[in-house]
Amino acid sequence: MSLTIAVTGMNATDNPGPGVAVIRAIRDACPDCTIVGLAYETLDPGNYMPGVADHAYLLPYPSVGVAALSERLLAIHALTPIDVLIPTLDAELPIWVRLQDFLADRGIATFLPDADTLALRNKDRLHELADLGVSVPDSVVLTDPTNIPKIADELGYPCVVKGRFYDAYVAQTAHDVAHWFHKLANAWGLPVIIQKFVPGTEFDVVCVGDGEGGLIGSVAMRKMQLTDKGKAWGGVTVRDRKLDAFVRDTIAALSWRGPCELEVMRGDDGGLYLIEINPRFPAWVYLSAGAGRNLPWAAVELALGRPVAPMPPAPAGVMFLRHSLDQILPLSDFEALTVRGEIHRAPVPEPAAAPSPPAPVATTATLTTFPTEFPA
Amino acid sequence: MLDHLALSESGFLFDARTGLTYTLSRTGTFLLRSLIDGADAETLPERLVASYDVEPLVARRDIEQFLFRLSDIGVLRKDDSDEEVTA
Amino acid sequence: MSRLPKDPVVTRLPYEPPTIIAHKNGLANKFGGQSARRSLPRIEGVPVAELVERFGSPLFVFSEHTLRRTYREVHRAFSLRYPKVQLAWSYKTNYLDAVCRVFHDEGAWAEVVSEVEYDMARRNGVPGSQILFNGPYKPEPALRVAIEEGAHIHIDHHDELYTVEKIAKELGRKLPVTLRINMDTGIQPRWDRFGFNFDNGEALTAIRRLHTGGHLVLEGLHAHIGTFMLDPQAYARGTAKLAELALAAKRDTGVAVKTIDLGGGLPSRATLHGQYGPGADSKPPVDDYAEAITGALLAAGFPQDELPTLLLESGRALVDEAGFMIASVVANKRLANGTRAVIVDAGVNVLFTSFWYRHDVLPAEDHGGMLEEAVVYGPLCMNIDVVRPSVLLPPLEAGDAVVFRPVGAYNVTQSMQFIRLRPAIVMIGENKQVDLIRRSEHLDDLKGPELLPERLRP
Repeated sequence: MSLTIAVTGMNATDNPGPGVAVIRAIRDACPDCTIVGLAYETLDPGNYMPGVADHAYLLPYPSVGVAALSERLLAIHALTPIDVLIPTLDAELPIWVRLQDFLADRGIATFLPDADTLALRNKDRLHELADLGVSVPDSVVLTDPTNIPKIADELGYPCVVKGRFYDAYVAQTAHDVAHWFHKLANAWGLPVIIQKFVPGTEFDVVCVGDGEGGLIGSVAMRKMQLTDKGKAWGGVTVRDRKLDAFVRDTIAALSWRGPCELEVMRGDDGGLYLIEINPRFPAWVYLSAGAGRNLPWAAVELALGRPVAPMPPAPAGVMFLRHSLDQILPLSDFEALTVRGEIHRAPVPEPAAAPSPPAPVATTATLTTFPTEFPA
Repeated sequence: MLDHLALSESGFLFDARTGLTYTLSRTGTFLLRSLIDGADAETLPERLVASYDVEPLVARRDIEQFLFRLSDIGVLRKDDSDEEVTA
Repeated sequence: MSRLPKDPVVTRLPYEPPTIIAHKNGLANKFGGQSARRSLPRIEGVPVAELVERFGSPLFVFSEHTLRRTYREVHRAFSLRYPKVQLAWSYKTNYLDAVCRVFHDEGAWAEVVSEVEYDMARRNGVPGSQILFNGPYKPEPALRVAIEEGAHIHIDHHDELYTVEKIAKELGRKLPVTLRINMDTGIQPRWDRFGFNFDNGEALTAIRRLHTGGHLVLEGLHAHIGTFMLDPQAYARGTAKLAELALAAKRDTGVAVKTIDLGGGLPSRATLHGQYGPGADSKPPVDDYAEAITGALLAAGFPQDELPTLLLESGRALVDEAGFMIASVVANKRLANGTRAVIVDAGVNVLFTSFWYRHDVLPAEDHGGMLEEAVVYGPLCMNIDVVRPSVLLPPLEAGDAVVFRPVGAYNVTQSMQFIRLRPAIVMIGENKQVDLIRRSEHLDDLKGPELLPERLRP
């Protein structure tokens, strides 16, 4: 029986969500799988790309809360029964993590960390990882600007001033810290995190952990080209035994379950430091399939409870370059997603009910189908 | 002629002149479809009451506001002139 | 009614108003705001329509069942984890006698912050020994009455400390007192305007001073670390500091503190403006707060026979979800920029908390039709009268009822007769019996206390 796999994050924009990359990797491993793309915006390009999603659905924004999101997912599940769900966006993860058991009871498998582990990767708690033996840059958590003068003694300058959810700035002086503190506190709320500046080279590592301390596989990448938002637009796999060991130890310390991306700094002092954990696949995860370590497919198999053997380290020198492309699409696809919240490119499986028919309109007026051509 | 408007039965409206898209309620779809098909705006209340379960007074009030809104957002403005269809 | 078929022979389609919604970039998601249509036809099993018919609109409704259930949940969460727990109902959250008496019936003491509230509690049959008297201003006569009746005096500042000391001297007996403490618990804004500061040593100095004065005995320590606190760990830090202070006081004075009072500040399921997602999702369960507070107390190192009683002064967390406001649609409007507006008959003069919460707004009945974002205005001829800046609602007709929730905390106490008089309030009992607990106001209720100078009379 063919599997149906639902993936979120269809926003393949200039600051892309990982959904399309995850789907491409799954398609490589499982050409027969049915793919359900779950999007939060009608204009997410992944909804319209050929060969990506067999069925595209809109979800309500995660801000509507647990009840409304799960209700919508179950409605989709009734139409196209989902075997595995791979969520890929930060904002939605806390909700799916909370719903793991609820989804499992309804036949939707996931492979995610528990809520406590997920909370541990919050930026204001990253320093707690030091207690678990993970090397992180020294940091202080600031709730009050009157403590800024202490930074000179505790961390020294320069330092990195980080917002609670997003944004990071390098500060050279207490004056800089005060400036960014107020800016970040206004944007993201308190606390603001001050991290010791580690000069060196950054590597990004995509991993899947088995939840019992084991690492199923990882692929490390160095960015070669950046967008103006600092996202990878091109990169190459690297291989380094010390980095491999660091990644293995970090996943073990956290007993991380499911996909994640580690941002690791190799300091000019030769030490490795964990800068951040993103609790989901990165947008560049297709590189893992390209390097022969198909981590999205591994996550699907683990979600289904199948045994997956740990993968050997990925080869170095596999390169990717992202490109952009203008897709021509029928306006009726946009209409379908806008009005009905769904596009179907494959038959809706039996015996599930057909998609909700268009609302009845009185028949006294002439109804025409949507025209494909308009007057010039 | 409102030939710049493409209205599907799902209530999805595309304005070819501006490139904007809209969603209409079922009755909104019914009324705009009637206009596109050449109905006189004066006849709309009668048509609405014949097809939908609504009192004439309410129908008249709602249609008046609906037409004002259509005109306000510019969908009744024709392609090649500033002429408008009014109630 | 417009929705009833006029002629049953001809089947006509169900009506909804004709509307058109422009697709804005990023807002074209029909599931964006919510996925399912929601309505609230009944409150505790009683039809909203029936409540409006009997008592008018707008109408505050309190559920006795929810009051009792919530109280028991909070009490159980703490008493399961700690042997000595006492809740005190925070009067300022809701003055209604019927509400207060439900909590006292469940075993709550009273926490009051003025002589007026003190008298309310006494009228509700609460003995002085079960009243915690808080606040920065307790007039001396009020202090004397409270001391006479055995109330627990929570001292806020040095001036009050001297006043109470003076009273003790006059009475010729040692008076037990509680000190209010403020501290850094890692949250912003830091509440340091009430009480004595822990971090700079002011609190311990005050305790030593109180002890050497010889007229007062330190009975308890009290802190109220903030309001709508979404981080239970802030309570753990606050509790640890209070416990540390209590042990230092014992070391310095030999007197063991009998009570540790963590105040209130627990959140309800209300949603703050600017909060991501519904409040119900981000509000940690009360067990997390109980765990944080009792865990810190048990770990503090009190000798087993000197474990202090844990006092809590809950208000919002006990009452908010038990309160509903039924309002009726007055008119529908379209603003100049195309925004849909719905005017209802309950405004910010009775839904004061609209200024900081996104109250849930549910139609009592959903007649179908396209959902559309709307701004919900109150009936006041005042620009600030916005009860919900933006919410997805189905088409509503004038006269349709909508329900706001949760509104049990602070709205009744902070409501005012501004432009409109205040509405009736009912309580639905455990047996679904509905009782009027406050009638709607008359002009005399507003004008009664006024006096007209002779020269202005006709």
